[in-house]
Amino acid sequence: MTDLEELFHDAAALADQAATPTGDVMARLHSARTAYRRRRRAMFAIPVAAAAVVAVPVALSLAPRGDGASLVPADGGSVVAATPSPPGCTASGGAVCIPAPARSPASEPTNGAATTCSYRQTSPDAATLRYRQTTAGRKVGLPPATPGALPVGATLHTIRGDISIALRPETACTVNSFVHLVEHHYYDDTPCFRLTTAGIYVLQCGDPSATGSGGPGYAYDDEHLSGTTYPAGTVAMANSGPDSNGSQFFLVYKDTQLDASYTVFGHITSGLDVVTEIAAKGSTPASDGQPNVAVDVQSVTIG
Amino acid sequence: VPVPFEDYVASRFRALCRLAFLLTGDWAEAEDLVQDALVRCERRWPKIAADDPHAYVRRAVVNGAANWRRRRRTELPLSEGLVPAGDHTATTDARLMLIAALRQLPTDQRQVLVLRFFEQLSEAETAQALGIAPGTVKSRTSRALDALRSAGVTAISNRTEIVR
Repeated sequence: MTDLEELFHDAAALADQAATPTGDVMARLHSARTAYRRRRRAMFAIPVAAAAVVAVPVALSLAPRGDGASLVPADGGSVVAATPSPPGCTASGGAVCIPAPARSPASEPTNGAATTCSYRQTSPDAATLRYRQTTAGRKVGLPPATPGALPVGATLHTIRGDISIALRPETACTVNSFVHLVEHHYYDDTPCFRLTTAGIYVLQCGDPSATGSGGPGYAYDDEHLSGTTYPAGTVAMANSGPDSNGSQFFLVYKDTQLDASYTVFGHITSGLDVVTEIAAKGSTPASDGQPNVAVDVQSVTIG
Repeated sequence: VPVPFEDYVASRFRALCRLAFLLTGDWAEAEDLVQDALVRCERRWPKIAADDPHAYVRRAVVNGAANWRRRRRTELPLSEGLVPAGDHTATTDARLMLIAALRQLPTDQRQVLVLRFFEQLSEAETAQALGIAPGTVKSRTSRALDALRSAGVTAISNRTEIVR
């Protein structure tokens, strides 16, 4: 499928929001059939009624035309393309990744107490779209722009054991997005697809396509990067450049030197040993590749 | 073996509603339209089912949408009924932009786009479904894509991000 075909497919699926439960369809058809027959009988029996039916649209056509501009964003540029990968990115092909530790530090200051979040629909995410077509329940939409009361914790239930995370309240937009994805079961049955065991020590998860290029179909800004460090237990968002957070995140299992480019939104409170054991089994290719033991996040619970 | 009407409805109803939604931009109307088309088709189902029922029903829906469009054109609530209530971020949604852009197109252009890119018919199949010449399909598609592009639909020239 081309991007345009995927966009048509996805746009058409919006109709499902008004969907009649499938079981009701035949019942509705039967009543529609009865109404149709009644209409036809009425038309034949009372021509005046038919004339009245015709007259209604004519009257309506005098109503003023609606304003069609409001659906298109006023700035015309809100639908952003994916940010290009930074030069230090070690993965190929625009993958969301953690770059090699040699990048110059990000100078971006923190954005203070964010009460409104900007979640930007990216050009339809091919990996996500493909996933949506084959697996039910991954249509996530955009998170609410104004985070409500945010939970303080989450637990990843993996087939290797549970990993509990304390969520960082300062990164409200990131936590808000994470919770949104959890609530939409976006992370259910997704693999942790990347393990690094040299230079940086992380397990990367949260891409249903398991390619490192998948995302939820939206992107949002980094939060509180200034002075960030990545000690063991850190949970942070993977990205493909500044302000390109999506769904992928990583768990640091051993103190790691990284540029302050990855929004830390939590730390592991229990289950670090689960990650350490996974790391001990190594990856293929060695030092940066798929974990040698399969790691699937079966579900995530909040609170 | 001809497919029974109930089975056809069960398997295709949702897809037909999606098709009608793209053609009208109004999901409530889309369901009504599909129901009408199906009720009409049911009466002649044995004949229809004998030879590519989906092509026949699709045509009924496309024609029904065109008539609906003619009836209602001047009073379309272009900005209502699309954005789910309370979802104030949805205005930047690429899908909604596409729906809005489709609604601004002339009916004939919208039909070729929907058949080509949603139903994924070839130019020849689209021509047959609409009863027009293949060359007309080509020129309408090109004009319609230009219109979408100038309406800000970005997926058109953007084919580089497909994940291998």
